[in-house]
Amino acid sequence: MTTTIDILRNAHSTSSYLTLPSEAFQSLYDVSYKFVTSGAAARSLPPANLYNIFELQFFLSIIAGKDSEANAILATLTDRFRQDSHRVGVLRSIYLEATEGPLKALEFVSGRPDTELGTLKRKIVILKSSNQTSAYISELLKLVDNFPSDAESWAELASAYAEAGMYAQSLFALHEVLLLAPLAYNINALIGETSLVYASSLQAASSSHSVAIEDRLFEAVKFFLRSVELCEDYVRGWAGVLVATKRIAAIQKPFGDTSTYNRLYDVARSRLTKIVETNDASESDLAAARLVLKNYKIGI
Amino acid sequence: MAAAPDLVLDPSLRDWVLFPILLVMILVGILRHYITLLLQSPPKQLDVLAIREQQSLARGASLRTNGKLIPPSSFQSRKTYLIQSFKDGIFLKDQEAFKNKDEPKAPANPLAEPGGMDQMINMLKGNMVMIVPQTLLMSWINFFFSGFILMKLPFPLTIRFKSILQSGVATRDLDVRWVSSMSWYFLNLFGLRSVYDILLGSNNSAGGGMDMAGMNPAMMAGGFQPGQDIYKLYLSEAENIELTTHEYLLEDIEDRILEKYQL
Repeated sequence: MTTTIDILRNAHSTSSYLTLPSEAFQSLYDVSYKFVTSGAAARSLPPANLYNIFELQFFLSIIAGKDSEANAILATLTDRFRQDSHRVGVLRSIYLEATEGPLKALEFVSGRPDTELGTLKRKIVILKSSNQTSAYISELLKLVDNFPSDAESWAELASAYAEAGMYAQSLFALHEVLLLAPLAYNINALIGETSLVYASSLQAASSSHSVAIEDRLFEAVKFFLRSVELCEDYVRGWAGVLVATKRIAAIQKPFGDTSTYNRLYDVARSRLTKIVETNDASESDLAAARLVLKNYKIGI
Repeated sequence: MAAAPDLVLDPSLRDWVLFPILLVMILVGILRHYITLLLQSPPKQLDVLAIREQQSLARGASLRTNGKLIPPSSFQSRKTYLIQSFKDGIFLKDQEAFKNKDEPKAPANPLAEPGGMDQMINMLKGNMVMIVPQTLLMSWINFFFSGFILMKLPFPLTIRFKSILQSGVATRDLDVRWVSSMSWYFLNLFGLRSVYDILLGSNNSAGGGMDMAGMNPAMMAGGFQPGQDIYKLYLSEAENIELTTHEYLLEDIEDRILEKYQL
């Protein structure tokens, strides 16, 4: 049986509250609010867990737009851990951004010591949300130079580059993530997707097909295959295999031997069909699978 | 000949010596726990360049172990870059010292580095908190209760336990089951850990530095030992990377997958 505490701890450690639908979020908020305000149950917890739940309640209040509640919790945490705790610093900057706007928050974050990974990341997030793209990317570059074993920063850098259309750089950053998290199947799929988009951008730039485009597509297939090798029923991976093999076939039509990719296409198709038939994925994944199956149908 | 009459203990020995020693030891343990907490200095933040210095080395190691996951060209460019940067020492936090490295220098003194000094002071604090109350308690017992017999264990023991249970009592023929005051102190000193665990929760520091792990966590957590030449570590890492051959794990993944999902 899962207790209230388990639910809250789970929500805190997985950050699931960020993607919850609104009713589920409301019920989580109610549970957390009751827990934090009751106090009786709170005293039985070891302090580390207790303050994690306080932090959760802070995030929930911020998302729910209840500033005064967030402020009360922030005050409690500040009293306990003092201003110079870096986690309290992160929370304070979030609070400032929510109430007084990004400029105030940026000012606050800049005043913190530059060794706190959390605060540095906050600074970057604020820069990103206030559309200062070049400052955002250069801060990110500084961050990955100083903290090269932080996978999250590399992933953020990759998405920043991808947004700017610099796919080669984005792939470089994603490879770095893969070196740090070798079994991350989602990163493998993301590399596949970035390669696909890269190939499209190359194709758009030069009308005739070139070796570079093909190489990108081959690489995309490899990484998608790797992701489904690590996670067998990964809809995103199989869908990627389907799309990439389809595009290889389209490019190579007048040329060489595509039988390997033909067969891979068939495998991906049958896997996806099976997943859709058995309803063996989340609702959004199933919808995506159906869409891919429909749009990339035509026999090769 | 009649059996020797059993030793009869005055009940006030129990009320005024046995229990007080136990109580005082527990209270001192709790006090020690809180003093240790007060004396603890917060973990020191490394400065940015030191973090970079350590994590860059880890980056080399992750390239060696997981390099097989990325395409050959990507691996090669990283390999060249890391080897060159390690050899040029561009990740070192102290560039000045690196440029002057040809000058002969004395072997680094761990006390000279601020980090090493902090560690020493922390260790000293921990030891003081342990030693001072122990000395006081022991001289208290020695002064007031030396040579006291406090209790009789309800089970027989072999003669070897005599030195443990009857320290401070110089009677050769006394039965091993009788416990002297000094021994009662030692039994408490080593046996109260589980009591502290109940009273203060686990991970308390009431027992002082009984276990090595609790004594010096900073030493275990920190990346480099003070006084270590990091440039040498970089050079050996560069050599390791140079020796790594790249076997692309995704080379034949198409065949692997096709074989697995034979249609």
